[in-house]
Amino acid sequence: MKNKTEIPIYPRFLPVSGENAVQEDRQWQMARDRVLAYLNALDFSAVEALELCVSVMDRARTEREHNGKGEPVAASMQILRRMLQENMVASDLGTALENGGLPVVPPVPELNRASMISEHPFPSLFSGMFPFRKKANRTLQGFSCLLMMILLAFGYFIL
Amino acid sequence: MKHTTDDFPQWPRVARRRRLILLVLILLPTIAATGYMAQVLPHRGTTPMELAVVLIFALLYGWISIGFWTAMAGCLIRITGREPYRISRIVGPEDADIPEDARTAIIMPIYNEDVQRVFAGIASIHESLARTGQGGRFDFYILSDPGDPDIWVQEEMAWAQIQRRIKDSPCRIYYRQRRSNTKRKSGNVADFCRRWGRNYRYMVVLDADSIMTGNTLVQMIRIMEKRPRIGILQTPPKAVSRDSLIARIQQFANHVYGPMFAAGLNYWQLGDSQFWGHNAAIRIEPFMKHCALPRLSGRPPLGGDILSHDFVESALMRKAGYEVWLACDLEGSYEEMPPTLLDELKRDRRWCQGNMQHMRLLFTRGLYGAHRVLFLSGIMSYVSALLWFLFLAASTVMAVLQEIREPDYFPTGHSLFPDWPVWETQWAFVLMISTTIILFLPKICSILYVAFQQGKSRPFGGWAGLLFSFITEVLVSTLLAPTRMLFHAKFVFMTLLGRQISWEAQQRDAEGTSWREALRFHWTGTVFGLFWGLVVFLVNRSFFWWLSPILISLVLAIPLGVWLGSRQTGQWFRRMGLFLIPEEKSPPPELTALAASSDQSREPADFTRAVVDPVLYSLHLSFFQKWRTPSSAVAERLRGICEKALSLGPLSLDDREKKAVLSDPASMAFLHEKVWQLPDDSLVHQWGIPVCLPPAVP
Repeated sequence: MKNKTEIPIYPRFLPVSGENAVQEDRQWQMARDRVLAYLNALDFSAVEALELCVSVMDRARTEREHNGKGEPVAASMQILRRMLQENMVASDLGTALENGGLPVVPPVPELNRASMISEHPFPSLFSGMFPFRKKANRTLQGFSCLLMMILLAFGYFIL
Repeated sequence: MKHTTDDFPQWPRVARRRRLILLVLILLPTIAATGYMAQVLPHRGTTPMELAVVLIFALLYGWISIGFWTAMAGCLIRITGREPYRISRIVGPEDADIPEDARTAIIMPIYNEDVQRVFAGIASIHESLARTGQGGRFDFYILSDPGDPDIWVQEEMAWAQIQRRIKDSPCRIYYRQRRSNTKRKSGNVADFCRRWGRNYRYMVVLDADSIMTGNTLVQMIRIMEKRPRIGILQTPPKAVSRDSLIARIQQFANHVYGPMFAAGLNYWQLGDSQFWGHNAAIRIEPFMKHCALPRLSGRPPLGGDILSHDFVESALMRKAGYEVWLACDLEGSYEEMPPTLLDELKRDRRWCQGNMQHMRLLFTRGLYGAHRVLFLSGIMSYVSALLWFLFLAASTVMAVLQEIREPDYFPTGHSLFPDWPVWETQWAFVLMISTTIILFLPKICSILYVAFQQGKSRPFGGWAGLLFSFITEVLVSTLLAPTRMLFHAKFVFMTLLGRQISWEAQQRDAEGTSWREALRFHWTGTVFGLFWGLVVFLVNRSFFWWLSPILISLVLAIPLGVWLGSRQTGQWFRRMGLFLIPEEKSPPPELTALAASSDQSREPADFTRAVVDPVLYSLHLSFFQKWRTPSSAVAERLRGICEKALSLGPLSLDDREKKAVLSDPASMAFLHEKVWQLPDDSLVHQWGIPVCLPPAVP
C-alpha cells in the first residue's frame, strides 16, 4: 500500500464550502473591493490601501461576530470612514484634497459686506404731470394698442 | 503731445459742437432724400398710404445716415490721425506702475457656459497678467449662477485644477456659486459688489468668451487712475477664434470696419459713451452707489428684470457725474462671435427684448440727452427692421393696388388738370444709388484704408485676399439682411404685444446648423418669400424685379443658414486665404494659450461623481463656508430626495433635485455615506462605483 503523505493545510486557506458560507464570502469580497475602491479614489498607495483594508476587514469581522448582524459592505464602509476620521484623513478635507492632487485654498475671500440699493423705479420726466401716464408707463400695453391701430389704419386705407 | 488731466474738461463743449454737426449732416440729406422719395410715388406722397411710406422712409434713411456719418468721421480720424480726445493719450510712461492700493477684480459672470472655455480663458489672461509684473494688483472672480448641476460640479473641479497651476501667484482666482440667479447677470455682478466690492477700487467685467491681454488690463487701470472722473472705460473687443463661415465673415468685418466705427463713435460720444457689458473697467464705488438696477414694474417682456443692463448702467453712471469713455484705440481686447446664424438670432432676441425695455427709461429724470439718444439708437437697431418690413409691405400693397384698381386721376378732389399716377423710376434710381452709397461707402473706405496702409493688408491675405473677402462679405451681408429683418421684425412685434418668443433648446451639432434645424426656423420665411414673390410676379412684374434681391434672400434662407454655419466651409475659406485676420497670421500669446488649453481633454465630472468620488465630494464640501441648518420642511424634502436617489438611483433625480442636494452639505454627506454602503446590484452601477475607482485627478 502506497504510503500517502498528508500535506497539512492551514485551515484559514481552506476553500469555502456550503451555500451559506459561499454567499457570505461573496459579500466579504464585495466589502473588500468597495474598501479598496474608496481608498484608491483617495489615491492611497497600493501597500497602504491593502494594510488599511486588512485592518478594516478585521474590525468589521470582529464587530460582526460580536453583534451578529450587519451587512459586510455597510459595516466595512462605516468602519473605514470611522478609521479615516480617527486618523484625520477623510475628515480633514485638506488632506483628502491633497491626496487627490487638489490644493487647499478658500474658494472666496472673507466677506466684506456693503450695500448696493437701487433707486426706486426710475422717476419719469413727466411723473406727476399726467396721472394717467403711470398706468401706460407701467405696462406699455398702450404701445401694442398703438401698433394695432396703425395696422388697422393701414388696412383701412388699403381697402 | 501728451495730454494732461486738465485738457479734457472742455470735452462736453466739443461734444456738443460735434453732435450738432452730426445732426445737421443727418437731417439735411434725409430731408432731401425724403423729398425724392415723395417724387418717386405716383401721387407724390399726397395720399395717406404714400404719406406713411414717405414717413417710414425718412426714419429709415435718417437711421442709416447715423451709421454712415459715424463711419465717415472715424475714417477721417484714422486717415489724418488727428483726434485730441482719445482717452488712451492721457497716460504716459511715467504712469507705468499701478499703485498698490488700486486693486482690481476681474470678474466673469457665467451661466451654464462651456466650462473648459471659461477656465482656459481665465488661465490665459492670468498668465498674461503675470508677464506684466503687475499681477499682484488683480484678482479673478468666476461668478457662477446656478444652472445645470453637472456644470456646477465641473466648474468646481476646473477651479481646483487651475489652483495647482497658480499656486505661488499673488493674483488669486476665486470661484463663487450663487444660490439663485436673481436679476441674472446684473444681479450676479451686484452680488459680487455687495460681498467683496469694498476690497477693490476697480472691476473689469468679462464675458465667458472674453479675452484680454495683461498689458491692456494694466493700461485700462492706469487710465482710470490718471482720470478719477472716469466711471466706466470700455474697450472695443475684436472678434476672434471662430471657424464657422458666418463667424469668420463677421470677424473679418469686425477687424476691417470695426476700428473706423469705434473711432467715429468716440468722435461724437466722447465722455458720454456706452458700456457694452463686458471688456470694460468700472470704478466700483460709484457703481455701487449709483448703478444698482431696480426691477421694472409689470411683467416681461417689457417689465421685470432689466435685460440690457449695460446701457442703463452707463446712463446712471453719467447721471451721477462720472464719465464713460470708449478707449477706441486700445488693442488686446477680444470676444467670440456666435458660430451660426441661429445662435446670432437667439442672442438678438434677448438683446431686442432688453433694448425694447429702454422705451420705459427714455424719459427718466436726470439722464443726459446723449444717453437718451443711445437708448433710442438701441431701440431703433431692432425697430428699424420692423419699419423696413412695413416699408416693403406698404410698397408692395401700393404696387399691387396700382395694377388691380382703377387709377385715380383726381386724388385731391375737383381739379382742372388730372394727376397722372406715374412711378418716377429715374428718381427711384437716384435714391437707390444714394442709399447704396450710404450703406457701402464706409466699407469701401475701410478697405481702401487697410489696403493703402503699409503692411496692413498682408495679415488679411494681401490685396487679392482683402478684395475677395470684401466682395464676399458684402454679398453675404446683403443676402442675410432680409432674413435678419424678418426675424428682428418678429421679435419687435411680439415684444410690443407683450409676448415672449419661445426658443426651444437648439439641437446644434458640432459642425454647425443641421438641415432639420434650419428648416424648422426658416421655413416660414421661405414660404412667405415664395408667396410674396408669386403674388408680385403675377400682378406687377416690374415691381417684382425691384423686390427680387429681398425675395431671393428669403427663399435661400435655409441653405444659406446651413452653409454659413458650417465649420468645414469656414476652414475651406481660410485655406483659400479669405476672411483672414491679423490674429490668425500672428496670434498673440493669450490666444495661443487659450487654444492650447481648450484642446486639452478634461476628466468628466457630474453630480453622480460629486456624490461618489471622495475627492470631488470633499472638494464640493470645501466650498461651503458654514453648514446652515435647513428648516424642518426643507430638511424633510431633502431627505425625501436622498431616499429617492438611494432607492431609484441618480437618474431618477431631475436638475432641481440635484441642485437642492448639491446646495446642502448635510444631504451630500448623507448620500455619500449611504451610496458607498449600497449592496452590489444595478444601483451601484448607476452610481458608477467601480471595483477600483481611478484617481480623481491625473
